[in-house]
Amino acid sequence: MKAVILLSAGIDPVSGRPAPVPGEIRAIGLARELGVAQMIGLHAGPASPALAEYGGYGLTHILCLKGGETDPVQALAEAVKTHALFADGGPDLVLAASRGRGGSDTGLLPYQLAQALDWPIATDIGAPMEQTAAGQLALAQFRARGAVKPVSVTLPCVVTVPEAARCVPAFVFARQRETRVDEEVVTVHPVSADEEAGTLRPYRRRPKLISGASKDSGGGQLMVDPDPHEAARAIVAHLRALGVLPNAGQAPEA
Amino acid sequence: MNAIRLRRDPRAERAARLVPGNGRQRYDMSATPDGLMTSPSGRLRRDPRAERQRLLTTGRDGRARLVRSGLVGQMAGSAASNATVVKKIRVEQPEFFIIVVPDLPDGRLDRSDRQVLGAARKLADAGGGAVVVVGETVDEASLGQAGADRFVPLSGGSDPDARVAELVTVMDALSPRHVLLPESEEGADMARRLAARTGLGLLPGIEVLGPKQVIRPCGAGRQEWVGGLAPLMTLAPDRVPAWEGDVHEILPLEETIEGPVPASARMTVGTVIPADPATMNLGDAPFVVSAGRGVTDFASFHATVRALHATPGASRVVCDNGDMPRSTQVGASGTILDALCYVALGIAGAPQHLQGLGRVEHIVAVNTDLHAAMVARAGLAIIADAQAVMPALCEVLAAEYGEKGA
Ligand SMILES: Cc1cc2nc3c(=O)[nH]c(=O)nc-3n(C[C@H](O)[C@H](O)[C@H](O)COP(=O)(O)OP(=O)(O)OC[C@H]3O[C@@H](n4cnc5c(N)ncnc54)[C@H](O)[C@@H]3O)c2cc1C
Repeated sequence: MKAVILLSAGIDPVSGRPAPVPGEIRAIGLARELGVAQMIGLHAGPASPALAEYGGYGLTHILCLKGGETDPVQALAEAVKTHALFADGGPDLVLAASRGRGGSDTGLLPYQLAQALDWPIATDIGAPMEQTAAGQLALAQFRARGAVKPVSVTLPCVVTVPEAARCVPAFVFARQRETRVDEEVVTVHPVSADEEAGTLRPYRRRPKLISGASKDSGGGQLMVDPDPHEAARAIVAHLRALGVLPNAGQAPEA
Repeated sequence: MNAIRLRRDPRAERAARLVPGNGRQRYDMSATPDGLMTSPSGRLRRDPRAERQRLLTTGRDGRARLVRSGLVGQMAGSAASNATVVKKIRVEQPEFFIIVVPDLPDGRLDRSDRQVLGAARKLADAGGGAVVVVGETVDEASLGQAGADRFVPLSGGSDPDARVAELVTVMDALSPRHVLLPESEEGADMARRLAARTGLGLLPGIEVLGPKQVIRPCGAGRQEWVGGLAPLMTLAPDRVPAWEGDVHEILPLEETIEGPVPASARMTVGTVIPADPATMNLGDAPFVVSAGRGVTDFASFHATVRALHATPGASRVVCDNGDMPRSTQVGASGTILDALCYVALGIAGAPQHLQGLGRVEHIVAVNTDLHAAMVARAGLAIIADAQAVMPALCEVLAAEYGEKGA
């Protein structure tokens, strides 16, 4: 299997300096777990030294599409479909982070790319599952509280990887040093240049609405020296009222 | 002072109170003839009859009662409060539509769904619009309470692209001004699929929503974008209050919506597999039961955790003693929990341990010390020996759920 991994010009949220995006690092790890034989990193924009850091995680060939930053979707779709690298068969998979870090951070680009390529997109994929059918990919979609949804998509497809995925590949500095970062000039014709008119300014933290449920912080019910069974029944009733225990009669799911 | 004092004209006042009775002329002394009465010196006059009339209600047992504290409307069971009909707001000829696509986990509106509906209501009320909820079946009373005016059912398949296709047909029929979704896992995915499919502008994760401008974080959370509203928007949780006003009535939609063209399914999403509580990541676990140094019987502790279907945790002392693995340590130097409920068995509640409970809402403590910090923090505190309570808990749970739960 051949895979393309989309790389963005991410920044570190604390220092603001160029840094790899966590979702993209995990995308490299997921591609490896899926048994991808050949991986190529694609970046719509000029080459930058920070990109070589992905090489340390195992992505040793990165292609930068200079000039593609004006319409990255078009540039990337063009490259995935027709680039000379894929002359002997196009990629089966395009992997990306669920959210970028440092740009507009909308997470929209993988969806637009899937639309441009007319491929299906599977999102928030944290791990592979047991593969059952050829031409299909069985994946685990990560949900809150450790839950998982099994997803099955037809190849070729776009897959996005969240920060919560645990498939972080080991970093090897020697591999970063031997990483090849190529740059190519491409021309794109942005169709719609209607940029949403808005202004950027430093982020201001605003208070969230206060959750109405947090009234339990102290001064609750107190039972001093109860009979153990009475105490146990009180605990069970309290937990059931909170909704963490299923109702009596219906057995909890295993 | 007025030089000329107003004089009362008793004859005219009497004549104004004359009402036609059956056959005979009568005087209605409770009617104030010409609005508020003023005394000759210009002061307002009290009307004790009218005041008494206003305080009169029918009590629960049908007897007349005077309610003097101004609580007429709140008197439980009083005829006055029974008579007030709940008036629902109807939006009949809307200027425009605002579509809301809630997540509806378990078929009910959740907190973020209500907040999105509150935001939609705000936008709709600014210009006489109607809020249309598009989703799988949900009961209409809760929708009206949350501020919706219309409801369009979706068929709900396992393929997100089919759902998007259905949404697109609804959007084509209604041409809404805005489509709002929660920036939750499912809502975020759906919004981006819609944006890619329709090519409409998307503003995700909005934190401040006004009638003319929105603010959303970007640039790795270091910057924020301020600008106008977009056709597609998703709202970050706990930013916009839910609708608290009067109940809206769900009216049938006049526009007809054709079914979408069925496309070949390229993707299937199965049902959620919840994580196994015994092995799941402590930081993700919704329900944690922890042992402190007050627990000595660890076989009983493990049985209790299994019976409660909880994730095991421990205080540092227990991990240091080797009674529990280090990965279960809760606290400043262990895991910070994101649980809904925490049961602390024999834990004193040192500050380093309580740091790990920052986001936990409900705590149950079992401790022999009435003055432990954990007891002060708990919603339910049991002052008893943990070694006695744990087997009792197992027994109670086994009795309620049968052998399967134990
Ligand atoms: C730098 C630093 C970092 C630390 N980080 C952590 C951390 O991450 N997590 C953490 O947990 N601790 C941490 N600690 C340790 C912390 O300060 C406390 O020492 C520890 O949390 C106490 O654990 P405990 O409540 O289980 O034990 P104790 O303080 O000994 O409390 C035992 C409690 O059990 C009760 N008890 C006794 N017998 C029974 C019985 N039979 N039935 C019921 N109750 C009984 C007692 O009344 C008492 O309240 C840290 C300390 C330092 C200095």
